[in-house]
Amino acid sequence: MHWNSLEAFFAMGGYAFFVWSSLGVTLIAMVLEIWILQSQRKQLKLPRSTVSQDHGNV
Amino acid sequence: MQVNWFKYAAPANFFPLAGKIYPWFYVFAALLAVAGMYIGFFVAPTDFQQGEAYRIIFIHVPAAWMSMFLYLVMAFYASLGFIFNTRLSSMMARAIAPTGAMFTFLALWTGSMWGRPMWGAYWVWDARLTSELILFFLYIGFMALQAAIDDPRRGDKAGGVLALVGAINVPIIYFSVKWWNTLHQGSSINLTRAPSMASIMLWGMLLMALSFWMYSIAVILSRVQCVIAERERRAAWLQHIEPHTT
Repeated sequence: MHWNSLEAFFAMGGYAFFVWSSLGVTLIAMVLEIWILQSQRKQLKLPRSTVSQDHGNV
Repeated sequence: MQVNWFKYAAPANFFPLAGKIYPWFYVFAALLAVAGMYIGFFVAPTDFQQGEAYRIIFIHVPAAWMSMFLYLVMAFYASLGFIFNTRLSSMMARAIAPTGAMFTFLALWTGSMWGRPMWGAYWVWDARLTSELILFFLYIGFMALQAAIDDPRRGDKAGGVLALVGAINVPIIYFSVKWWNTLHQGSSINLTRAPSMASIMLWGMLLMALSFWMYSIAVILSRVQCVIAERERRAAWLQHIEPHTT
């Protein structure tokens, strides 16, 4: 493990804002995209995304 | 044995296949992201010049790669749509655009978050940054153009032309750091020589790139199902798909 403490990890050597906002915005963008897509699928009455065997069979 | 290469070019055949496999790519993406983030944030050492700020690389570079790669794939599908006049190719191009735009935005965003502490500016009009911004506008233009044309097949054609013409921008982005004197650094990974970075950092980056790749496949397959369902909703084969309640 590279970090001495939890505080050091969150501080990111003084670059916390830049590192965490990069990570945060990326996460938000991806969650948002999946969320929009899922509501679109719901609207079109497409099968929900679950990992299963009988999925999407016609 | 004769292989029918065009079997899955028919939306009716591709639709169930896409539905069956896309959730798995979310799983792969998540697993790879956990591994990549673990290496990137817990195993990889501090950079001797940039301190901890360099850790943005684990998102920035994979996002930038995906932004360019997805554009090429989109242009490839657009050209297939021209050559074979297959509906599905143009539908794939449509499904790729929003995700490509998202990764372009993320490359620009994380880049500016990296530029501020290292260069002292969120944005500079350097060749790499400007050409990446143009890529973002190309994606937006592609989506806007297709949304503006009511006839889907005409929209496919118009968008396809834009996607193909815009593809010239991708090599410009890639080679911009060589052709011009940019503030943006040159590539750390090259086909012709050994990578100029520590191998553990490289591993973190490659895992994240793979994760973004899997994520893109999942999202694009899921979206192409939406595009197919919307465009072919009056087709007989689609009437047989019952809404799952599981």
